[in-house]
Formats: sequence, structure tokens, C-alpha cells
Amino acid sequence: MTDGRPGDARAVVGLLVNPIAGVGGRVGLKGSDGADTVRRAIALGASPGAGARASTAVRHLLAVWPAPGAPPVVLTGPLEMGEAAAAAAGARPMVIGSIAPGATTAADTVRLARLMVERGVELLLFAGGDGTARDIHEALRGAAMPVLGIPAGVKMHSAVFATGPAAAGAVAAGFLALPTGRRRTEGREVLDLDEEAYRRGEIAPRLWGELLVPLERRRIQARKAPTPVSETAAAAAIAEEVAAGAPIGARYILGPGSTVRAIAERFGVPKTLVGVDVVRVEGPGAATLVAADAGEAELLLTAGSGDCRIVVTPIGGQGFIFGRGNQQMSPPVIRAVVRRAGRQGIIIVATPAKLAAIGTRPLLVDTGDPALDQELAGHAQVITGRGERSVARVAAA
Amino acid sequence: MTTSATPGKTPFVSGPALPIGPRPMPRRFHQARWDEPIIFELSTPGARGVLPPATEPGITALVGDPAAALPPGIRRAALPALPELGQLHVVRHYIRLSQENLGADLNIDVGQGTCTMKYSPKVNDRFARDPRIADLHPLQDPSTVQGVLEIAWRLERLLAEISGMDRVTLQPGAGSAAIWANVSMIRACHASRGDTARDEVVTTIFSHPSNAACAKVAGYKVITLYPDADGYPDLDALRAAVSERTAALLITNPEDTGIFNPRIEDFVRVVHEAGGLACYDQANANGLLGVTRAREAGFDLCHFNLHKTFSTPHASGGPGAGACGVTAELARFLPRPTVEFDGTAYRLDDDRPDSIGKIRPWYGVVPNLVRAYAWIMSLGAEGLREVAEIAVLNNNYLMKRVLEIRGLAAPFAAGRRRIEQVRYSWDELTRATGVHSEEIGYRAADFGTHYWTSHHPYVVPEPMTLEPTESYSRADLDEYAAILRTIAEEAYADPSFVHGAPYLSTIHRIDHEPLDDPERWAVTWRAYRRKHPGPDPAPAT
Amino acid sequence: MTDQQARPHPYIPNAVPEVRAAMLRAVGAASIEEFYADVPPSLRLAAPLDLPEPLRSEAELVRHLEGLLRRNTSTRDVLSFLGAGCYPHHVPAVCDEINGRSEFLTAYAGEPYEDHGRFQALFEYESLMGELLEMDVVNVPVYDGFQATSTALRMAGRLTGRRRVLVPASMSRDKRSRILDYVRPDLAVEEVPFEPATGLLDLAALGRALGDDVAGVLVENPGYLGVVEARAAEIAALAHAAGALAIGDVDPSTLGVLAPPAAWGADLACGDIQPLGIHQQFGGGNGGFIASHDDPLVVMEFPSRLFGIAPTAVPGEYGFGDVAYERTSFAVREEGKEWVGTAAALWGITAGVYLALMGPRGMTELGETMMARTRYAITRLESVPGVRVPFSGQHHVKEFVVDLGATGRTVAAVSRALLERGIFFGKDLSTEHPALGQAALVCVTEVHAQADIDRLADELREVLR
Repeated sequence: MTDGRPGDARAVVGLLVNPIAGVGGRVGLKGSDGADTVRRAIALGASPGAGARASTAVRHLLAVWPAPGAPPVVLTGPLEMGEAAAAAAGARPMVIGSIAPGATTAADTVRLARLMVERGVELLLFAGGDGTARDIHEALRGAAMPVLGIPAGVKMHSAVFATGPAAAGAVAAGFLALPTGRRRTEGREVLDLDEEAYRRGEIAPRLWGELLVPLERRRIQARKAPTPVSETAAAAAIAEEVAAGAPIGARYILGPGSTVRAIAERFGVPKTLVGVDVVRVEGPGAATLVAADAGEAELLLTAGSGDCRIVVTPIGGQGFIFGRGNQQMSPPVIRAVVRRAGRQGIIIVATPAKLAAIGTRPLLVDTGDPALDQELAGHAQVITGRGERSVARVAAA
Repeated sequence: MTTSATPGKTPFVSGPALPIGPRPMPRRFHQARWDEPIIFELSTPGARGVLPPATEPGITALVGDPAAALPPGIRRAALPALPELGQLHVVRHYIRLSQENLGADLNIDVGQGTCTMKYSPKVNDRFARDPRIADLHPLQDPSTVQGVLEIAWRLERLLAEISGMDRVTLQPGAGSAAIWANVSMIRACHASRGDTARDEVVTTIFSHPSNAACAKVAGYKVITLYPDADGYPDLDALRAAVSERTAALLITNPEDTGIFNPRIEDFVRVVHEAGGLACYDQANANGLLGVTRAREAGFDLCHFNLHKTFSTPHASGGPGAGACGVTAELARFLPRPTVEFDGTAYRLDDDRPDSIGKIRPWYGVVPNLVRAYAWIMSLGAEGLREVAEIAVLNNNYLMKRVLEIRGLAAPFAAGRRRIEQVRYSWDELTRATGVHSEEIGYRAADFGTHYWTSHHPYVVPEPMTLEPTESYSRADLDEYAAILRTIAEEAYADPSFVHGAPYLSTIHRIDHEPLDDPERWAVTWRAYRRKHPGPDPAPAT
Repeated sequence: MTDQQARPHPYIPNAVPEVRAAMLRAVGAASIEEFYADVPPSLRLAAPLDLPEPLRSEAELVRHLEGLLRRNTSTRDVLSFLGAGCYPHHVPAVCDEINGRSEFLTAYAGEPYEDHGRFQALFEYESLMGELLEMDVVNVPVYDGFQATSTALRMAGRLTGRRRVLVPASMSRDKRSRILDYVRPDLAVEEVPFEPATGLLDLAALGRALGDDVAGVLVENPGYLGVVEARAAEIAALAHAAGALAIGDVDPSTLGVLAPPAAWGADLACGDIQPLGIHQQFGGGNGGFIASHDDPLVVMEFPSRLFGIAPTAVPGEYGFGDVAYERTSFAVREEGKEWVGTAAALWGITAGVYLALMGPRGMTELGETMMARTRYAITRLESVPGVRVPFSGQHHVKEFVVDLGATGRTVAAVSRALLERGIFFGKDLSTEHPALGQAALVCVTEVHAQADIDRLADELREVLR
């Protein structure tokens, strides 16, 4: 358990609580970003619940920790940003940083998260919602510290959350109990809605980036089937299939998401997680980058000239394939592609695990043009692997 | 009657009454734990377990020792490093291992959903092990094996009647092999029509993975349908999936959720209209015997698992046995040889030019064909109908009991009955406690049972699939529900306890980490000793 | 009232009317019909299935089956020289005892906790086979040797990325048919002829057939025609020189006396375990094995389960589980998955018991005595006028080809005559390998005493007179 670590070094886990996460939800507000919303919520009788959930997670972590004599060191923010929750769970937290109690903001989250990176925290547990996840993403700026969300916000579209506070504690314990060399993580998507847009009725989340999350070592019963496949391998299989079917000379508009990024990798082209890039297929499995992080104008030009397809993957737990968060893939762009290539011009990809998580619900579109949404609705084929497809319903959100 | 009780001691009960009270529910089980070494560790050089016949002097006199004449490089250079044990010690070792195993006779095996773990009658084992089955060679002259040929022929006809199909083959080794045979026949059928453009097969996410896997191995692309919000296969999705490229639909009904698809005839029709064939995976036939059949729904092919519906034992993972049924149009593609009867004698017909050929070395898993035949003959039509009805009653009764358990739900088709099995979800419990479905299963080992979750990927989160069959009594079902209830309450009260299970089983929680590391994994004892030298184990006395 | 109504069936406990009624009440259903509400009327059977009257009493069932079994003549009652992939070896009583234990017989797919025994027994099977084969990785059994060979060929295809495989033309036609059906979408199968004089693989023809598109060369040793492939090492070397894998397809009962495929350079080994303590069962006792060295790249290509040994929470305790849990290469390749099903685990456990009983000396003695008895049979039959053993100059272990061409009689006719005298003659090869003429494949194992072989020679002489 302590292989690869010197002497009696203990694991270091960070705890960050967003004290006002989830405040708006219970009283019917759509989130708690912004001091105004928070005041309204508290006035309506809401009390912050993130602290209590964080406590549950830490208590559970300590309860299942395999070496009771050497529990992990718990590094926290001060007072309501982690210290109180850790103490209530029976831990003796090591407090870092300073805050103005009762008046914390997103900037505090960012600052404390960065401190945790500096202090060598091995796993950051944060209690909050998508907004908090976004703040941490911004704080880390690509640093390789793994995180895990204790779900406590209203909006939790991001894939970085455990299924519950107790589960968060259990996953954290399982992860930290492994020697550093044997811990495995996976990139998971950070999504968030723009609050104002949400209140206007736009419900498609936007992809902000990726955070590393512990890859849970679930020994799933393999008795009746060939062994299951990791997400990375599944995405690679999808990439093979798309590359194999890509006509030479065609232009592919690659949307956001890690599965689409795997396709770009197969083509040998760099790709950002959140942007829309255009590539031109040169040969089997080879393409050149035409435009990185393209804007609407560039995409319109591409869509109007020759064989052009769009590749998208469902974003978030609800499975949005088109949302207004990506201004670039506007209705005119989509229409231009469909006009030339029909609905087959839109290639939807998703790993089997992703589709299973969406379950029986339809994939959603919210392009901003209700008529286009209706045109796109119906059944569509989704590439799920090499020689494997699914049929999914597509519906207007 | 008086009692005197001291804390920590069993109360002493005096008086005439017997100390028989209500038994604890669940029972206070403890599995056998022998801490048995790996058989290599029991070796004593020179010990012999069984002696082969010595070569007679008369033979040696004529031919000498031909083994000695083998050229080096072809002659085995050194004795194989097998362990050496006396006969009793081989017996003891394996009997001990058998005690560290459950089996459907021993435990209330309702948890292995889709496997249909029913009672395998002992009298049928006697038939299967009779020398007049066990010591037959497949190439014997047909005149010397009329009995076994007749059993196979009759069983084919019984299954043809049960399925409504025209011809049956008993060659497949088990269910997946039967699916493979069906897919091969589908491929042959389209090829015979010159219909070479059909390169797609449609199946569903709840079907056994072998449906998709066999189709892929046969060269097809696979389209997998998801159910609609109620858990029924989505007919609109099927319409969107079929085309002139569709070779076949491979579908199960009811699916592993236990929900019967009422529009199955429409599914078959849609595929037929597109020019494809409809193939029925009848792994889940146990609730439908005598109620409905493949024929009535219009299927072209179907298959049964004899080790599921028809009682042959699961044998720790095989051998099972499979049966495929086809319409008359497809009969010419059946694997060869087929069993034929001319009114007087039975024979094997190998002269079948359109056959897909051999799907296994001989004619099927014969001992299991004998068992399945005897089982059907014991029950008859009324008995099979009773099997189905009681299996369905047991399933719905068990569902009622387990849905009383906190944290457990049965997704889809809310409020509707199920056929013979149910897929449950522990998602609510997991969210509250952090305990996963697999861990509840591990804790179940402490009560002398277990269960199966689901195929991958998990559409139903934290799944558990239970299938009681007709073999278990009401008390068995109550006990099983009590076990699950106990574990669920433990999870809410002290999740860390359930995390560490099992405690009363043969071994403790396994560390799977080394099994994925090439430097440390070991599939054989020789690999293990090479990678983990350690001190030599103490020699067996 | 029918017997069904009067006496519930012993296999259906809740068929007791009072119990059935109580359970319906507990569920809140008026009748079982309610549970079939989703089955449309158009699909409901109008009448009961047309099946024979049931034999509800065990005594009647036994009597009925006895009537059928009586019409089988087993190889215990006659002298049988049939082999060709299903072999008459002695099955030790302990093998039947262990595979009859209901804990093994009625188990299926529990976890490596409550079903630890099954996992250990199968790990030990893998380990015992590993020693016999001198390879570190052996799979949990697949359906049969045909399946194992087919899978090994596809593995070679995946490992090399090539699409052609070479197999011996002497191979059984049935095996070839099975292989073709299985590998067709991915591999082209080409046959390499054998030398008519020796039955050995024609090395010159092999050299001509090899090319940089060959994924694997299948070497059967002994070959289907019984000849020991004495130049196996050269075949493997030729394959390797062309960048192909060598696959050794072997009979494990011969490996006490023949070098295992690993020793002569094979990369993969495969075959059938029926000879190891499993009754013939009219062909119902097969199980297939595939083995390789402990190369992670190869391990990742096994489609079947591999059980490995693992530590538990208690130091020194053995546990077991699946090795190389995610074999990710399957996802990416077009050929993709192979299918895995309920195959032959109990036969694997049985083969393990057999190898444990026999031990190294038993397997060696088995091989030596089979070779001696077989050579004795060859010598005795060659002395029968008109009977030739075409490959007599080669090494054989347990089977050999007998050519009756010079007698003017067909194998079929001779077999019928021998049958009347209580002998099952060898497999008729005349339609399968027409180039061999009226030839038969005669099998001799440790169960054939000198007197049995003498009797075969004497009766054959009588029949041919």
C-alpha cells in the first residue's frame, strides 16, 4: 500500500467546499452563482448543504480507510471552505490559505485550488456543482492533480462527480490506498451552463474542458461475455471506424468532446477538447488541419464547398449533440451540410458506455432554430465501435 | 421453564421443553474453508495416483521400445513437471475444492439471472453416465447406436413442437455456439440467393453479447438498438435501422429485464419486409413453454440452451448444449450430419451439399441431449406448461418481496408484471451509501449464495438480475429476499462493513491489481513461481 | 382429474395447489394469466403442445430410457479400434467421481469467493496443462479442438496482421470444414500437401507456399493420419523465417513421450483434451485448449477467459480472478471480438484430475506403451496378406493408416464383416482422402492388450481369406 513512497508518508487528500453550492436549487432558483442569487435564496429559506455532504464524504473515507492507524492527511480551505466539514467528520484538517468568512467567491476556490496543487495534494475532493468544477478547472490550468466531485450543486452535468457523498469517500479511499504508480485516472468532461442563458431557456451545457478523475477499479462480473473495453479503447475503435469510412478529399468538421478528439488523433491532427476544428481527409486515416478552433464564418465556407460532414458526440449526461453553447456550429452551418449530404452528413459517435449512461432517453438538439431542431429529430445511427452502430432517438430539447 | 443468562454466554434453558425456537433468518452460514494448497505443493516424488497398463513382454519382444527410437527434438527431453500424488490425496484435494464451491443443488441459486439455474434431476445423470452412452464412439456403425440416434431424433421433434419450427439440430455445444450456427445459416441463405449486399445484423442492447459477437465474427456489421423509455425494444428505431443491407434481426423475448415485447410480430414483419431473416434467441424461454412459440411470431430461426430451460447441469461453466430450430426453407443449411429415420432405422446423413458444414467435431453434447430428453419426457405438455407458469409466479412473487427492500428498484414497465426474471437496480442504495451492486453480491457469499449483475455496458445502473425458475420453493424465495434485505440494511447502517465482505466465505477479498500487470500476472503455477520466487513451500508430509 | 392435477410434479415445489394459491394472493393476482398480459392473443397457443404422454413416475422414466439404451452397443462390449479425434482411453474412476460431485456439476458462474473451488480447480488445470505443454499461458477450455484450432489461427492473423494461413492437407475434412466456416471473413486457408510415401508434410511445398502474407502455419503432431511430424522443428523454422507464426496442434495424451510444441518452436499450441480422463460419449466429451508463452501481446489476443492467481486481504491466502481483464485490441480491429460462451469447464477440471493422477511417470508410460502397442499392431497387420501400412517407416503413437487396396475389398465391406465378429474396425478414409484408396485409420491405445491386437489381426486374416 505504501510501495513507492518513502518511510511512513501518508496520503494527502485535499478538501474544498463551495459553501453556497446548491443554495438556489431547493427554492427553485437555477443555480447559485452570483451574490444576488445567493441572497435571494437564503432569504427564501435555503441553507447551504455542501458542507454537510462534504462531511459525509470525509467520514466515509476515514471509515473505509484500510490502515486506521495512518489515515490520510486532510488539507482544507479555512472554515466554511472545508475546515468545518472536515472537523465535523472527525478528521484533524491542516488548513491552508485565508478567506473572508461569509463572503467567499469563485476567486477563493481558484486560489485555494492552486495552493493545493503547490502543496502536493494527491487527490482533491470538492463539494459543489458544475460552477465549482469550472472554477477548479480554471485553477488547475492543465496541472495533473486528480479531482473528484462530491455532488452538492444544482447543476451537475459534468462527469467529474461521484454518485453520492458516500461513494465519493469510497472512491477516494480506494484511489489513495493504492501506491502512486498504480493509480489510474481518466479525463472527464467539465460542463456548465451559462446562468443567464439557462434562465432564458437554453438548457444545453457547454464543454469547458477536462479534469482527471480516479478510474474506479470495479471488478465487474465478466462471466458471460468477452472482456469489456475501456473508454479509451472504445474511443479508439470509433476513431478507426470513422477514419475507415472517410472519403479522400472530404472535409470533416470535428465538434467538441473526448471521443471526437480521439478521431482527430487517429487522423494525426491535434485537437482541442472544447473547440470546433476542420480537417481535410488526405488518405486512409490521414488528414490535414484546415482550421483550428474555427468560427462560424470559416465553418460556413467549409460547409458550402464540396463534400463536408460534421462529427459530433453527446455532451453531458443528458446527451446534447447540438447546443447553443457552440456558437460556431450555427443553424446555417448545419443546414448547409445537411443540404449537400442529407442527415448522413451528420456523423454521431458515442462509446457504448456513454449511450448506456444516457439509457433510454433521446439525444438532444438545441440549435437555436426550432425548425432545424425538428428536422434533426427522429432516429439516427450512432457509431459505437469498429463495425458497430446503434440507433438513437434524437429529440428537440 | 427457567433461563439463566450471563452476558456473552448462551442462556441455559432448563425444563421439559426442547430449545427449539424460530430459526434465525437468514441462517448462520459459514462456507468450508480448507486453505488448500495448489496441487503442485502436495507433490511427493515417486508417488503414483493411477498406473497405466505395463507393456506386455510379448509386445516388447517383437517391437522393442519405439519411444526410444524417436529422434531427439521430437522425443520429449525431460519428464513433464506434473505433481506426484497418491490416489487418495488426489481425491481428497478435489473433494475439498468441491466443498469450496456452491452449485445449484446447494444454494438458492435464483440470483444467476438469465442462466435459468433449475434443478438437474439426478436420475438423468444416471442415464448420461450409463456406459451405453458414455462409452459409445461417434463413428460406430449406426446399427450399434440405434438407441442414442433415436434419442436425438425424438428430442429434435420434441423441440420442434415446443418451438413450432420445422427442423432442429442438436449439434451446437451451447447457446453461443447455437447463435453462431444460426448466423452461419443466415449467411449461407443470403449467399444462396445471390444476395451478397446484406452485410448488417440488427440486435438489441439487452441481448446476450454473443449475438453481436457471432455476427461480427461472421463478417457482419452490427447495429444495436436501445429500448424505449418503458424498456420495450423500440420499433421505430428498428425501422430506422433496417435497409436493403439487413441480413437479420437477432432478438430475445422476453429480454433480460423480463419484459415481454408485445409487438414482436411487428418486429419480425419489419425485418421480413426489408428482406432480412428473423432469428429468435430463446435463452429466456423458461416462462413461455406451452404459452407461445417462435413459429407463431414468424421467426425463421431460433435457438434454445438445453442447460437453461431444459435442465441439463451447468457443469461449472460447461459443457452445456444448444439446439437450433429452423423453418423448412432453411433446413438445407443445417449443420451436417442430420439424424434421419426411414421408418425402420435411424442413421446420420452427411450428404447435404448446402449444409454450413461441421460446427463441432461430432454430433452434439450427447450426455446433455439424453438428460434434456428425459426431462421433457418426465413432464410432458402439461408439465412444461406448469414449469412456465410456476417460474413466472415465482418471479413475480420474488419481485414483490425484494421491492420491499430499501434502496432497490425494478426499472422499466413500472407496475407491470414480468415473465421469468427481473433486472433490478441498487442505484438508490449506492447513491446513499457508496456500496456497489457487486459488493452486495460479495456479502451474499456470507449467506451461502450470490447473484449476477448484468451484461456490459450497464444500461441499468447498479444492476442485479434474479431468475427464480420453477425449482425453488416459497420458503427458498423468502430466504433469498431476507438475505438481500439484511445486506441492504447493513449497507445503510455501516457501509464500510459491506465494503470488506466476504467474511464467512472460502477466502477473503481478492486484490485484483496484479492480474492486469504483465509483470505480475500468472495464469499457471509455473508462471507464478517464476515471477514470485519466494521461499519454497514446506513439503507435504 | 389428471395425474398432473392430483399429484404435483416433484421438480416443481410450488405446484402444490395450496401453495400456488397462497402465492397468487401474496402477489395480488387473480390468476397466472395476468402475468402473460403482454403476450398478444395472436401469439398465444390455442391448444397444449403435442408431446408424448409424460412419464411422471421415476420408475417408468427409467424403464423407457432403459429400452432406448439397450439398443446401443458400447465399446465395452465389443473390441473397438476407432479413434480419429475421439479416443478410447481408460477413464480413472476418480475422474468420474470428481466430475460427478454436484458442487462442481451444478455450479455455473459464481464469484471467486463462494465458487473458489471451481476457480482453483481450473487454475490447476491450466497449470497442469502448462507443464505438459511447457507454456505459461493456457486458457479455460473452449468447446472443442476444432474451435481451439480455429481461434488459434485467427489469433495468428491478429498478431501478424496477415491474412493467409497454411494447414496440412492430411487434416480431417470435418476439421477443415469447421475452420473454414469460422475464419472465412478474415483469413484465406491454403493446404500444404503431404509426401505420399511418408505422410509427412511436404517441406518443399511448404517453402513454395510461404510468403509475406502468411500469418501462421498449422502443424498437427501427430498428424491426422497418425504419423509423427518428425520435422516439426524445421517447419517452425521455415514459418518464422517467413515472418509467420508456428501453431502446434497436438494430442495431449502423447506429450509424455513427444516433445511439446514449445520445444520445437511453436508460438501457439492447441488441441482437444478428450483423451485426458473424459469418456467418448458418442462424441460429446470434447474440450479445446489454446496455449502460449507469457507475452502480453499474445495474451491480449486470447478471446477466452484466463484465470490467474492473486493475493487476498489475508497474507499467504490464494485467490483467483480474470487475467488481462480488458483486452482492448479487440475493440479496435475490424475482426473484433470472438464469442465466448458456456464451453467445457467440467472437462477441464476432469483433465486436471487425470493429469494429477497420472503424474509425470504415468504420462510417460502412457506414451511409451501406446507407441509399443501401436507398433505391434502395425507389425501384426502388415503380416496379413494384402494389408499394407503405407507409412510404416514413420513414427506413430496411437493411430496408423491401413491400406486394403491390394485385397480387392472395400473398407466398408471389411468393417461390416469385422462388426459381425464383434470388432469395430478403424475409420474409413476412402471418401475423405481418396488418394489413399481403400484405407482405414486404426487406433490403438493403452486399453488394447496384446490379445486384442492379435485378435484383430487374426479376424482380419479370416475376413480377407
